[in-house]
Amino acid sequence: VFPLTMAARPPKVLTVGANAVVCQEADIFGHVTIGSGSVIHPKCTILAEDGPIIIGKDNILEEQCVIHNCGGTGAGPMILGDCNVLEVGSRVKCKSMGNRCVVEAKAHVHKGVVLHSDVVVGAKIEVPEGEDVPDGTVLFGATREHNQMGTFSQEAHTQLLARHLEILRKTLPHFHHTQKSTR
Amino acid sequence: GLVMEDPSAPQDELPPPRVLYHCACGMRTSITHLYVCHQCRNLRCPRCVTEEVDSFYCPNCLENMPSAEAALFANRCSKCFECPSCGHTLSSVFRASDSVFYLQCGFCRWDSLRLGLKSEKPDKLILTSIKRERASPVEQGASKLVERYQKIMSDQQRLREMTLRSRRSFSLSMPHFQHSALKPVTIADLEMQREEKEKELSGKSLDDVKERIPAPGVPEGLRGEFDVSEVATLEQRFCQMGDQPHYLRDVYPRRRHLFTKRSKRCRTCERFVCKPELNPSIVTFKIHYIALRY
Repeated sequence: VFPLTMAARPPKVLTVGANAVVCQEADIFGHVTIGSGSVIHPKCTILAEDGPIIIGKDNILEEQCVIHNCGGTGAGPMILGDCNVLEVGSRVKCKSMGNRCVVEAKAHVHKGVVLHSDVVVGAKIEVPEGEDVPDGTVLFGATREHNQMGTFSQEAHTQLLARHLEILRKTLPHFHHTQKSTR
Repeated sequence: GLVMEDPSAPQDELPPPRVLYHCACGMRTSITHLYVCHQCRNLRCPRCVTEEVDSFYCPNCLENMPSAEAALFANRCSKCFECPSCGHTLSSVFRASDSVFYLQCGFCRWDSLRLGLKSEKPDKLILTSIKRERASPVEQGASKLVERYQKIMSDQQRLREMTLRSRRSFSLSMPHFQHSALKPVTIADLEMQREEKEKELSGKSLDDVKERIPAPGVPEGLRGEFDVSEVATLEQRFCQMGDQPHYLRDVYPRRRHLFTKRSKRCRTCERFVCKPELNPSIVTFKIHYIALRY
């Protein structure tokens, strides 16, 4: 996805929670903890360069998405909450993300951003550095308009997510080898 | 000038055409804009061609609509709704917790629950929207006017048929023309009416006006500081001519505008030069005599 010299790749220290599915083809570098139930698709890149990355439960990280802790040397851990969906091609470099967020395709969340819960970052949206995005914000449109999302649509999100996770956990291991925690 | 550019393309995107062809009317255009009329054996530019609307279809559900139905629905789709905040098409979503249908936008995550627009059956959502549209005072006023003019038109039509028949049978038709509402209007009549109106109005002054309707001012909430994301843009306000709400929370979803399929005829010989297929999902043409093919 982006050039990394052999020297720049931190050694993989991976902890995978129960029931999580992490495909072999997912590129994981550095100190990464993946919570139970999460599904990491192949060709997803998790790069814990400047600090560890902690991913919560029941997340879906789709293909070609990049999670990069680039908070500067000595930065704290990058924390992603539960039930988030990072769609295809999204790039997430935020300081932290809450629960039930959706980062849509090709969106780019720059470093230092704090996404609270129930946030939807629309397709191809660039969230600039250091933004603090409050609960329930929907970022969409060419001029990055935003409005509050109703609480009811979150019900639909969690239900849909549960169904997706069920199907993914069953079918992905049929077609891909999975990685386990490094010891 | 005598060179016609493509009226639909934005001016700075395409380079100007290198080779220009003369149309029969003297206009010089690129070969891509020219049609060929077989009867006249001539090139026709977009100005030498008359357009007629062939059929209506919804751009979202690609459903063909006969013109009578389209007129009934005010040239809008019967099923597809537009999101008030971003204009994308809404989809009806079922919420299992209290088995209720509501509309949701896939792009900006707007939902109709914040307006209270929900029902147990998806058809009812559509019916309530139509009822709202028809109930607005602007719609009612417009429909009354339309009815009145349609009546006058049908009376005129009947009169024409009667005079035609009576001319053929050589009977007297003069008494009919003296009926004032159906007389063909001449310029002299209009001039007379204008003079009468001017006389009427010149005698009055503003103080004679009995009923004053106060102009709708800016609502209190919009003076001083307010949250910009709650305020409706001008475009969104004009979508609802009835009440033109200031706030986004009062803007209701509208039904999607229909698009048209147009056929083109040569202006001189009335022959078809371009006729599309009726089916909206088929993009080829039944008749397509364009200069590029020759």
